[in-house]
Parts: sequence; C-alpha cells; structure tokens
Amino acid sequence: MTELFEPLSQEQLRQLPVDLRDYFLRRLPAHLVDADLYESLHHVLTDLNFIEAKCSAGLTYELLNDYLSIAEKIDTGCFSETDQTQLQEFTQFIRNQSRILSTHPSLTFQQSANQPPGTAPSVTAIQYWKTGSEPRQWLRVIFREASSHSALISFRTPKRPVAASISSSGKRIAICDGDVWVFNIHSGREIFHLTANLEKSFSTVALSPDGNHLAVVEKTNYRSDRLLIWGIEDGARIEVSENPVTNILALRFSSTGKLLAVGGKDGNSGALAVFNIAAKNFLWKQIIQRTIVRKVIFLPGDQTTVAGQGNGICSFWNVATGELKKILQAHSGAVTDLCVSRNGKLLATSSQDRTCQIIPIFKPQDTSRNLQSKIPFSDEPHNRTIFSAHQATPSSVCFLDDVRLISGDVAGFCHIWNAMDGRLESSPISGEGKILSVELSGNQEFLLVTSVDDHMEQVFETKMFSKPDTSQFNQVRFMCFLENFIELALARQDGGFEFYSVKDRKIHKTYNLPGKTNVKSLVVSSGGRFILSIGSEHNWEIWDHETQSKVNGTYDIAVGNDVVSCISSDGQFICLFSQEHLEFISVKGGRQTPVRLPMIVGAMRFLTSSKLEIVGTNLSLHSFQAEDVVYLQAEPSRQLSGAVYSGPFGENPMRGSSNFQFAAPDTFVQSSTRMNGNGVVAIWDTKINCLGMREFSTPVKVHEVTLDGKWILLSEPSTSTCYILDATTQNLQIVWSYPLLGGLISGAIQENGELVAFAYRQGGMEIAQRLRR
Amino acid sequence: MTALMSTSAILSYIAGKVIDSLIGKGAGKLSENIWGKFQKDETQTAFKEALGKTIHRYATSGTRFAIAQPLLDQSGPLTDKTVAEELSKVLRFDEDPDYQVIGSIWRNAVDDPPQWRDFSVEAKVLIDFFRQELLASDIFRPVFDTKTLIAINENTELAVDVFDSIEEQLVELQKSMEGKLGDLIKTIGSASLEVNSQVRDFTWYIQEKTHDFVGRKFVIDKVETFLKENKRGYYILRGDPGIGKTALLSQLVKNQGYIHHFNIRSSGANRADIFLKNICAQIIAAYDLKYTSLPDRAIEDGDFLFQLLREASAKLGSNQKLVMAIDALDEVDNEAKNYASNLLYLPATLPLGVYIVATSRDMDLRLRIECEQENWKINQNDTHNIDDIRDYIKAKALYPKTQSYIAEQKIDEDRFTESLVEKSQGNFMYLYHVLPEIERGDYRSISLDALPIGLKDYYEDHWRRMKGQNEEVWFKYKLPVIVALTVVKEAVSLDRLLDFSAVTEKARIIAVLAEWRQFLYETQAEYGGSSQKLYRLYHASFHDFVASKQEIAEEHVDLKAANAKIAISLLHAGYGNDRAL
Repeated sequence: MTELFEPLSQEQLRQLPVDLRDYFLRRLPAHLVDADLYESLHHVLTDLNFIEAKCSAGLTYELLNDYLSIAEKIDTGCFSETDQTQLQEFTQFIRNQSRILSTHPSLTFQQSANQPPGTAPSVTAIQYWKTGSEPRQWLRVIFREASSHSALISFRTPKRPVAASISSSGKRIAICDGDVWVFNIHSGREIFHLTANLEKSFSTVALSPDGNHLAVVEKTNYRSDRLLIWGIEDGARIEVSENPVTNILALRFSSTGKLLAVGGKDGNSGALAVFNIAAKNFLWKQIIQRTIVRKVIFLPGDQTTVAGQGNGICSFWNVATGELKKILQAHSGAVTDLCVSRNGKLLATSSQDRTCQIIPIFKPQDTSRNLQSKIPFSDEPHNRTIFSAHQATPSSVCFLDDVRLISGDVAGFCHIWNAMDGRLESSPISGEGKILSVELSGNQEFLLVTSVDDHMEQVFETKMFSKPDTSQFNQVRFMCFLENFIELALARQDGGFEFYSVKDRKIHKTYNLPGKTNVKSLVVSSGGRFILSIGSEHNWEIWDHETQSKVNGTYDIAVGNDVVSCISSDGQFICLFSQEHLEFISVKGGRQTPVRLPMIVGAMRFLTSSKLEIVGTNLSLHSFQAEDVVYLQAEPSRQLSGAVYSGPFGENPMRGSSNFQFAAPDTFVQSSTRMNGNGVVAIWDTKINCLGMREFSTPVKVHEVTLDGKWILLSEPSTSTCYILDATTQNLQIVWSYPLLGGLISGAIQENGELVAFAYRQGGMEIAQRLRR
Repeated sequence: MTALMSTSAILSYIAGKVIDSLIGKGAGKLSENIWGKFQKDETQTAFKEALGKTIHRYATSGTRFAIAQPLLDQSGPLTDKTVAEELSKVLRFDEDPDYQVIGSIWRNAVDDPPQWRDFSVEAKVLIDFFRQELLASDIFRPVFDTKTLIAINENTELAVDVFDSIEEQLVELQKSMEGKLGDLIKTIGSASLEVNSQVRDFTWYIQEKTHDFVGRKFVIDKVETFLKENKRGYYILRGDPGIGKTALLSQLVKNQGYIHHFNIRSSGANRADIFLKNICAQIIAAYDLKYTSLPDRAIEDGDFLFQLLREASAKLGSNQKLVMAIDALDEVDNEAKNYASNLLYLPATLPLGVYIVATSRDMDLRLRIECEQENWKINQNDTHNIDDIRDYIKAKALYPKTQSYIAEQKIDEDRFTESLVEKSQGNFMYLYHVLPEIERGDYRSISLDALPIGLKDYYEDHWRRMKGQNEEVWFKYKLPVIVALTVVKEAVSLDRLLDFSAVTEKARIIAVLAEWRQFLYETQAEYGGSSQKLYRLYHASFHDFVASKQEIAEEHVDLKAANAKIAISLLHAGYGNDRAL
C-alpha cells in the first residue's frame, strides 16, 4: 500500500485556506485515530514532510503528543507488525530530536536521514532522496563513532563551579558557582535557583539522599558564614538560628537525611558540628586545634561521622554525643576528600600528598558491629592500599563499586583503580580543567564529575565503566583534512599522531611518541604536505605526509599554555608565538632570538618561506573590553608592518578573546563575543575592511575556513550547533546547520567544502558529507 | 441603574457624534433622505448596538482591559470629535480611517500605557470589529453591499437578546474592569509583550458565564473556609454536568481576580501545554517575576510552573494567597498519558500560600496530591442548590413574555417556579436553555407539564422536534452537521463544516446552525486579515448526549464514521484527491 501514498506537498499545503491548513496539521492524526484509519495514520506519521510542516507551524510539542498518544494503540495490534516497528522508530526519532525540530524544522530531513541505518526514519529519508522528492542539500553522516564514555548529561554554569552534589536517589544534582542551581538529572531541567548578588554568594552545597533538602553556605564579606537549608519541593527554608562554625568548608547529610554534618574552621582551629534537621538545632560542636576540617562524611548506620583534616588526619566522632572515638594519621598532606565503601568496611581518602589510600576500618575477622563501644579498625600501615599515579593533587575520590575506586585530580584526569591491589585500570575521563569532585549517587547508578575551568558538570552512568571504551577516537585533540582531501590528520592528546582515510573509513597509519606529552597545537603547511605539532614538553615534531614519516623534532622551544604556530609550504621554516614572543626557526638549524610582540596572536601563516602574516588583537592595557584587530607582516629580518583597527564592531564592544582563521589570500575571519553576550563572526581584509559579518545570539567559535575563502566552519557551543557559512555573501549566509552530538574539541572542513569532521570533547568522531542535487 | 443609564447615554453620545459627522459630510440631496433614516429609532439602536458590541468584544479579547477602559468614559477617545470623524469613514467608503490619529488620541487617554502597545494597531483592530458588527446587523449590511448610506434598511425588525442587552453587558463589564479581575488583567496587560502574548484572555468567557449569576454562597463559603484554614492545598469542586461549576469558578475569578484557566474540550483548548503557557505567563505578570519571556521548557513538564509558584510564594506577604482557578479537569485531553505525572502537570505539593481551586465532573482524575486537599461534590438535590435554582427562576419569571406565559398557563409565579425547580433537576444548564425559550415564546402552545424533565430530556426533546419536522432533511442535511460539530476538535468555520459534514449547500448549514443556536458557541477568529465566525458546542454535556445516540441503531449516529469523514476530507485537502486513498 505504501506506493499509494506520496509525501505531503508543501506547495499544495501553502495553497490551502489558513484555517484549514491549521486544522489539518493540528488535528488530522487525532481524527485518524478516532476513525480507526490506522493505515493512513501510519502514512501520515511516517511522512517527513508532514513532520516538517507541523514543526514549522510551531507544533512540535503537539506532534510529539501525536506519537505518544498512539503508543497504546501500537500495543493493541491496530497496526501491522512492520508498521508498528516503523512507528516506534519514528516515535523515538521525534522524541530525541524534538528540541532540534522545534528550532530548526528544516532539518527534519537531514536529522531523519542520519538516524541509525536501517531504522524507519533513515530508510524513509533515503527513499525521499532517491525518488527526488527532497530537493534541498543536506549533510549526511558518513562516519560516526561516539565514545561509550560520553556523559549522560552535561551542565554548564555561567561561572566556575565551586561545589556540586548529587542526590542518593540519582534524581537531582545541585551545583554551586556562586549561585546555587538544582537540576533534574534526567530532564536537565532547572528546578531550584538561588541567586548571588554583590553582598552575598554561596559556596558549599549538599543534597539530602532523597534530593528534597538542599544545604548551602551563604558567604558575605562582613559576617561569618550562614548555613541555609531549603526544602526543594515546597521552597520553604528551615531556620538555622545559630551557626557554630564561622567558616564552613564541608557539608554532608546522613543516609537518612535527618542529620547534617558541618565542618570548617573557627579562627585558627577546625570545627565540626552536627545539625538535627527536624529539631532545627545543633546536637554538638567540637573544636579541633591547629587544623581545619575539609570534608565530613557519615559512616553507614549514621552513628559515626568522620572528618578529613588539613593536617592529614581523619578523626572519628560519635554522632550522638560528639565524643572523639579515634584519630588516624592518614596522609602527610591535607586530606582533600573522604569516602566509605558501601559495606562500611573501607575508607578511601585523597590528599595533597598526591596519593589516595584505602584504609580498612574494620579488621576482616572482626564480627563486632557495635559502633557505640569502639571502632575496631586496623590502622597498621601495611593494611592500607596506596594509589600513587596522580601527577597532581587528587581532589576527590569515591568507590565506583565494591572493587574499584575512581579519583579525580586538579590536572583534569580521572583514574579508575583496582581497590584491592592499587593497580591503575584506566583513565577514562579527562576534563579540560581541574576536576573538582567525583561523586557517586547513593543508588550507584550515576557518577557526577565536576571540572572547574570549563565550567562543566557531567553526569555519567556508572554501568558504562563496566565495559572498556572501544572508540578509537577518544584522544583526538586536533584534526584537519589533508591535501588529497579524503584523509584526516588526527593529533592525539598523548602526542600520538594518526592518518585516517575517509575513503576506507579506517586509520592507516599511527605514530606514537616516546614519552608523555600533550599536543598544544597542530598545523598543516599550505599544500598540506607538512604537519607541525607542538607538544607541552617544549617539543615540536614535523611529519611529512608524502613520505608518511617524521622528518624532524626537537625539545627546547619555549612554549607556554597557549601557542600559535605555522609551517612554511616546503617544511623548512616554522614560526611560533607563545608568551608574547615570536620565534622563527629554520628546520635545518639556525634560530633567531625571539622577538617580543605586544599582541595576542590569533593565527599566522607563511606567505613565502621568509615572510609571514599575523592576525590577532591588541594587548590593551587600558581596557580589557576594547579589542583592536591587528594585521602584521613579519620577516626574519624583523621588519614588522601592518594595520591596526580600533573598535571593529562599533558601539557594542567585545569581551573575552577572539578566534582567528586565515581565509583566501588577503582575508581572515574573526569570531568574538560582544559585551551583551552575542557572538559575532566577521571577515576582514588586510587593511581591516570588513567584508562580511554575522551576529548570533550566543558566543560562536570559528574552527576553520577553506583556503579559497568560500566556506567557514563555525560552532555555537550553547546550542551545540555547527554552521557552515558562505563567506562570499555579505551577511555570511548559513548554508548548513548541523546539530552536534556534544561539545566540540576540534572541527575541520575539507578544502572544497564537501566534507566536514568533528572530534568531540567527550570522545568520538563524526564525518559528514554534503549532498545536493 | 445610574450606571446603566450612563453607559447607554455614552453609547448614544458617541453614536450621535459619529452620525453627525456622517451627515455633515454627506453629499447634497442624499443627506435629507439619510438624515431621515438615522432619525428612526431602529437605525439608532442598531448603530448603538454595533458600537456597544464592538467595545465589549474589544475589551474582552487579548488582555486589553486596561486600554479599553477609557472607551466607555464620557471624556474618552471615542467622544472626541476627531475620532468620531474618523469612525464615520467606516460608512463613507471614500477613505480609510486614519488609525494613527485615533491611536494617538487614545494613547493619551490611557493611564500609563504599556510601552509595546501600538495604539494605531489597536485602533485598526477596534475599527475592524466595528465594521464587522455593522455588517452583522441587518440594517447596515446593505450599506456595505452597495457602498452607499442610502441603502440603510431601517424597516428591519431588530433581533435583540432576550435577557441581556448590550448595555447590560457593558455595565457588567465595567464592574469587572473596576474589580479584582480588572486589576489582574491590567497587570497582565502591562507585562512584557512576550509574556502578555502567552496569556489566553478568558474575559469574554467569564463575562458570558456569570452574567446572571445567583447565590452560590454555600459553595463560596466552603472555598473560603478552606483557604483560611489551610496553608496551601487543592480544593476540588465536583458535580454533574450543567450544575454550574464553570459559572461558579468564573464568578470566583471575577470577584477575586484569581489566576485562572478554563479547559474547554470543544474548543481544543484543553491540553497541558496551553494550560502551562497561560498559567505561567499569568503568574509571571501578576507576581512581577523576573522573566521577560517563557522559556521553551515551560511547556514540557511542570518543573517550570513549580519553580514559578515557589518564586511567587516567596514574594507573598503573611496574609496573601496565590490562588489558581482551573475549570473542568475532566475535559483535559490526557491522551498522551504520562502516568508518572498529574494531568496538566499539576504539582503534587504546593508551596506555602499557594492554592488550586479546580472543578471537575465526579470521576477519578488520577491526581496524586501530597498536600492539603478537599474534595466536595455539589449535589443537585442539596437544599442550597435548589434555593439557588429557585432564585434564578424567580428572577427570570419577571420578564414580560415569561409573565404572559405564566398568565396563559393560568398558574401563579410560585407554581411556575416550583414546577421548573422540579423539571430542572437542580441543573442550571437546563434553565439556561429553557428559560430564554419561554421568554422567546417557543413554548406558547405547550403546557408547563409538557416541558422536558432534566437536561438530557431537554436535549432529547429538541432533537425529536428537529428530526420530526422532516426526516429526510434530517438525515440528509441536519444530522451530518450536528454530528460533525460533535466530533470536531476545536471551533470551526462555516467552510470547514461544509467540508467536514459533506453537506454541500451553505444555506442548509446556516439553517442548522440557526436551529441549534442555543447549543452552540460562536467565536470570531482572524484568518489572513479577514474575520470568520467559528462554531463549537456550548457545553460538554451535549457532546455526551449525541454520543449516547450511537447506541440506538435507527438514529444513525456514528461518531467513528463522522471522524472518518473529516479525516478523509483533510487527507484530500492536504495530500490531494488522487493521492489520499
């Protein structure tokens, strides 16, 4: 029967009277249901043109309802088995994509076509394409390998997070970045928000096990910290009249949610107190001399609370009486985090001494469960397991399950350890910044990882750590298309290097670098033969793509955190800019003294072997707002010449840093952010005349511009959307938009604009091809 | 009574000015003739009526209360000579009124007008309404057909609503404007454009549902006691269809200015997203919350609503309450059932100081409520209910034609009242239909005893009479239209009824609409610049009545087939004739 039904014609739809068209889009599915016309219903709900028309009319939500309301019918056998499967797959598609479809209905076809091959939406779309009923160009994913370690959901806060907490129920997380936010983990919805202002801000947070109570610390400049406890459901605040701890650093609810442990410092001493939520009073408070309390936890049973102290000691306290039961010298540096295993027998700690430890707090043969009388743990050092592979201070630790421990450090790495023998199993997560905390929900389903510098909180499902990550592309940091257009160069975070053939869909050459290093920059010479990679260990390497070999490499360049580099087309000269200095290097030997360049370089390229052009922004000492665009030409003889343009974007100044990419000869592209938060992308010539500009409602980043200057690859992180702009139009028209799978770490566009590739922050890679009639 | 006088007087005053201006501009010899026509009472009344309806319609749509208020002022924009001059252009056809001139005079008359309101646009809306109302009157329609004033048909008999003249309605409206509902609508009107545009204006509906509201003190007291004795919670009023739940809730909203939403199945306005948009926007506006627009997520689930309630709750003073009035939970389209959440995503617990007063038929709503709640059913035989029914009938019995009916029946008013109390079975919807029919003289030859008993019987009676006139016509033309009206999912135009009923003659459909007028609700909608009348069923109980006919074979009522007819007509329209089936 399928052939009897043609897709909806948008033209015909446009010709209908407005009220009929509205009624048609809004009510047709419901009437078909009421009339038991299931075959027609199946056709309508698997018609991409109907879907697009309904979404275009602003009815995406109602469309989703159409699918959901037939869910019951599907089960009762109104549809044939094939139709049933197709409808289920379409329901899944609409549900997953509803956000995108509501804002970009014109992407219905593309999103549908890129569904997993063989599923109804994908099959239908391809059929439309083949029969010619879809005339528009689109982007077809030809390769997609997502990381199995990708986060379930990510939250990005406006400011750096300072604390986060996940409820035991795995339902909610609380994030503090000065403000406090509570989100639903599953939907990502904000359900509670406390706003900081000039006078006060918030620091530590804790969520009760059921997620219904939130404890936060309010900090002001003029008085001691205030402890606030809120009911999330009813928005009511529990009065905490007195506050015994002047400076609160740690909060933790007991497993029943009835008690709250509060730790911190009082003048020069540490302080620890326990608050009874129902009675609204503190049970007790203890002062611990000459140290501070950095973390507090309850042991299972809620009869003992443990304080992790600045002097490396863990102290155990009777919850009911406040009596000190035991102290344990755990570390030589401050304890940064504490965690207890589910059976309550093992205590895990992390410390500024760069180690984590697991300490048995019950002797294996001890059967006594009477915590009131004694804590019969063994503190002989030989019983402890010590984990010492962190290069930086581990900031947080928790048990992933009974046999594995996960810890995160301030360098951005998370390690998973075997809890029994201390062996490092894997390092599955690496944040862009410091890892602030790793915390498991009480039901063991979710892992919350908070990293500071990229303002991200990511929630992972713990079950995904049970299988090894199979994606080959988890370490990609930089990528670009090479000369022959169908090969990608991929630079790995560990300094390794791969050539990926788009045609064969596989990596055909891998280079591993001796020693550990992070790639800081990757550039290709014009013509694409030579590839220069700069590493974090003052090293650089050049690879010759023609011979597929490493031609050179050395260690002793001065590179800071940010480095911009370029390589001449013959591979003979390289130029680096880092820490305000520009350095020419002749590969065959001969270096010149670095010259100071008082600007922030955004991009460089060689014009000839001895001449290069540089774009960037002025280092403005008077005002951090005004960013002047600077274009310079430089020669090894150190003659600098060029143009400076002031206030490029008129009245609305820029904030933050710009990204630059060279385009066609004598033009370059800049992306920047206005003070009002709008993203701007602009093309300039070398005299700093604006050739085209486009504004977005949120910040954007330019990734690459094709050398002919025709296409610009741009991403908008807030909406996870990638755009390809036609750089030859004055308003930089959007030619394609593509919803990304997550945060982009690198994006590349092929020289003729036919292929684009994306490497994701959470791992995984996608390559898509532009198709048009 | 003074208020009535003054509203009527103001209408006359405005009408006088416009007519003066018309005559003044009229050319030469025609003037005399036209002057004569305008001197006639019928012409003047029709003109005033159109003007009154225009103002009423304008004020009750699109949260325009605040800016509509000066329209009925003695010194308001409409009494301005320049504006009268511009208004008269509607009937002169030589040029369009200058909306900007009207707009600027209007803006000056409004206290603190919202920045985003464009008064020249408002002026155009008002004048379009005026034109439509004139066009709807038999006296002025010929003027538009011929584009000359001489065509005024002053000999037409005026069809005036039996119980409520437009003047009365305007007086009621003015009262509302000055009351708490007016305050709420004005606050909403001054919110940001984006928030304001999400609010559904139910003012018209509320006015309509409350215009001869009686008593109900026993219910209102109960609600008030609940609000007083609890710190928050749900109060759910239950009762049979037609018992007057909607009128009651409307009255509460009118008196107290509660935030409100009415679920109306036959209008299609009965889904969670519509509710969430409307209610969230009202809360933001009424409590001056810091949002300038509604985020997308507002309609996805109840989280945003809950967040707003909490924020509003935090702003409440010690004796302040936030009350949401929600009508007809039973009419909510809950097809996409998500059993994990309540219908309309109503929160299980409410923040302190927040209350929901809702109505529903007596059925299981599957509501999960984890805070204070009370359910109360209005019983049709409750003595309080019967007292209210009696008062309602007594008031209507004073109308002249009802009086003559009582006289003809050789009974006294008490006997009349008590018989109707019994016949109505405590149901207001019954009286809403029957009393106007008595006043119109429809029952002149029918004895009181022969009147139908109860709402269902009343529907049945009408059904039988209409069917009895001519069975062939019934099955061929009338029934298909009635059934189509029963199954459409929102109010539809005449053209859509033509498509959906497969009755091809427009005149037939118009005739059916006229015959079933009392069961229908008529609205106006703008489509592509022109205004259309839309029709839907007045009350959900009529839908149930028609649906119940399916069980009787010889009635030939098949709602499934009617749905199929509509579906196929839509498929034809959208997919083209050859491709649909």
